[in-house]
Amino acid sequence: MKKSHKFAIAGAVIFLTIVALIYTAFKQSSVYYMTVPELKGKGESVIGQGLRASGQVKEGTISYDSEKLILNFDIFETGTPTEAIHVIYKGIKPDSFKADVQVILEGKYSPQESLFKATILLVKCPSRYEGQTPPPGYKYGKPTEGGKV
Amino acid sequence: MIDLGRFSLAFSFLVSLYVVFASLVGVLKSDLRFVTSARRGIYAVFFLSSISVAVLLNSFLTDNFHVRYVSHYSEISLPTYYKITGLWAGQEGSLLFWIWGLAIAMAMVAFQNRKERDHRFLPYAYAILMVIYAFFAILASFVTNPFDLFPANQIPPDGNGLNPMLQTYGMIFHPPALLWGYVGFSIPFAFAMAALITKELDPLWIKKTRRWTIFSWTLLGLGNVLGSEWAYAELGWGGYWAWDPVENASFIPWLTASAYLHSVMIQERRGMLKVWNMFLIVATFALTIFGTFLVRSGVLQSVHDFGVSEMGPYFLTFMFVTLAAAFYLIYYRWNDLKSDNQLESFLSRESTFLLNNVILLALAFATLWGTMFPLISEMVTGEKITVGPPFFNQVNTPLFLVLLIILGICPLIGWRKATAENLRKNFILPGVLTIAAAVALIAFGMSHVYAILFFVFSVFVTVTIYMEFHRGVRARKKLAGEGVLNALGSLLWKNKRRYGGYLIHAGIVMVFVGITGSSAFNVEETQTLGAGEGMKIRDYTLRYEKIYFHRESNYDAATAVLTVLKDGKEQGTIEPEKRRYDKYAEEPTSEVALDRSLKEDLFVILASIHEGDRVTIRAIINPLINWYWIGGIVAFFGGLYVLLPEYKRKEEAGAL
Repeated sequence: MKKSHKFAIAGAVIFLTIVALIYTAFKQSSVYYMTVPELKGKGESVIGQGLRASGQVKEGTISYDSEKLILNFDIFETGTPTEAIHVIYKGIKPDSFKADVQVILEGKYSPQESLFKATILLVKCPSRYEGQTPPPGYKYGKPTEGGKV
Repeated sequence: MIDLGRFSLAFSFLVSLYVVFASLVGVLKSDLRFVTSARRGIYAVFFLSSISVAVLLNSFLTDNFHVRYVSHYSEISLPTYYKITGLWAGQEGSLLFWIWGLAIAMAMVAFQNRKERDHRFLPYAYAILMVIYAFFAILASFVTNPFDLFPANQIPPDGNGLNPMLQTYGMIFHPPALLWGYVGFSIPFAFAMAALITKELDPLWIKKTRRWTIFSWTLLGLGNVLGSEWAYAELGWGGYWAWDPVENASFIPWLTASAYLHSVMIQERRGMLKVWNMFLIVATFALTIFGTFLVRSGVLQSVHDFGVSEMGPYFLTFMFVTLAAAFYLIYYRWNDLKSDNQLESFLSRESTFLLNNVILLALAFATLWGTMFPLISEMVTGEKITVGPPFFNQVNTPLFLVLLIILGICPLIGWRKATAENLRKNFILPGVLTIAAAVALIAFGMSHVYAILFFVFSVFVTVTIYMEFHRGVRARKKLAGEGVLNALGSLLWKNKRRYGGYLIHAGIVMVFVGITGSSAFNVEETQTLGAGEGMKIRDYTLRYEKIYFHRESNYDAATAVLTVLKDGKEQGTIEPEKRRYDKYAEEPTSEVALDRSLKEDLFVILASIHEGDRVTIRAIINPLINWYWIGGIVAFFGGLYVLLPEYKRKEEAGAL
């Protein structure tokens, strides 16, 4: 066999291995990113699927057991507070977690109970690294809105 | 005063346009006077941008809250050294800092080459660099100007203060290292493009920019390590690397730059891989621009967001124009980029370098793919699909392992074609020790397969690096009749590039050891405790004694005191803290308490405080993690060592 052929074959093998590696990892660990209405609209198809959801924490629904570290609350898509789903998260309540903040959850959803079991809970700060509360008496410069997600 | 800063910035933009014009006229008309004038223009740009930076710095130091940017990132009670970091704390300032870095680099390049008359690629390189400068100067002057002022009747009495998460020593070094690491790659990129334009494709452009490449690569690597140390010690989530888009944005160009560093050596020695090297430097440069874009545009969710800005389209346009022009040039000179030699054998240093390149690129591609996928899938299917750390870990871990193995094999294999004899001789010692290490680890009961592999091959690489030093010293002892220490000294001094490189490799092995230990064997425990109660974590017990509240210069703090017991014996106390900064009362922050040692870290966070002074404590044991930072520092010094002036005598200079 010609030398250049050998190198071509070796190259192809390496390339395919890498592609296969990326493909399988992707199959196993990709998660769908959904809003609350999207999640509700999906029905049974989301059972068992890794999901990431975002929404606003509903006032008056938060309960936290600080001994067992279990956090319960409802989230809804901003604007449609009646369409809420319930969330259970086992872990520490983040410092900035409170009613009306935007959160990102990762975990699984069961449509029968409208229940999201979250393994990850992140609080979205609209401007984490920006100075955000302007002192009273002057107008803040350019509006910095939260991320578009 | 502020007007001076704004004016210098805008004026530097005009001068940069003049430099582009003068260099091009100079080279096209072969008129050195224009080139000389262009060079002076570069100095002027450096001078002007320095004035801008000085003015902004002065505004921070004098608490001039008339300046919007200063009022956003500083306050009167902020310690002075954090006021200085305000320069790069936000969008506008860090952009100014970026272009200042570029101006410094350009001035140095112009100075280094001030006597150069023969190479037509220099004026082109100046022109290209100045186009880059002009682009960023437009952004800094017209889109996000750091010198924007409040109307005179609305000057706030105090600033908003620096975000508490940025008030840490990491803030002093991490952003400048990353930003200037990014900036530095402009130089090899500009030279590469200039070489393509003028067809001066001998390795001279590589030699002329080698130091810049290594310098930028070293800084970018340091920036990444410092960033993860910061995340670890400050952000308090227990980890140090989350495959966050912005982390990836600075990691990906580092990977392609690592590939470039290695493959240009093949071009220098063997005249091969010319197209590939062009591709790598273009990719690296484009990725640094892309990284800057990711951080600033807000298109992806990230902890590093500077907030949404209108800069996205500018960056994308600039990046696409750059890529299109660069690829056109490569295509245009395709025939002049043919290899002088062919690969001769699988068992040659060239092919290990090539494999190293492929793996580094695969890492870069997989990471980029995972980072960009949410955007791509939303554009294509309308559904947002994301991948998290599990994806990156699953793909990148085996690739890293291969990389580590190559790190050990490479120095054992000669250039061109290795003989069986050569292989047997070189592989026996490392092979035996590696197998011994594997047996020992398994005998000790280690069952984590990846961990065993990473540890074992770390031993392998360490032995091969040791052998390289040993062999060099022995040869010198024989040849020059020197003692061991003298021999080692002159070996290191006379072959900086080679042994600095091994020092970097040794650092990288330590990094691998640190990552493996802390990710395979970390233990975590969370519990809510009342005074006097204890929690167990592995062989440690943490006994909660008390909590006290105190007031510091610009924040209120609550500190929990815990006694650490190991196997029942008292080791001292550890005091995690919760802070509430005046200017950020809505976002309390956790101050991690860390008990560091080479063996492992005890990482304790005061997660929350409840009624009756009960506290929730989160504790993590991170084995071997400090080797990560130590390795990063070793690699950094290895990089600096390579940058020292080369030893001159030709016959002595060892070949790499």
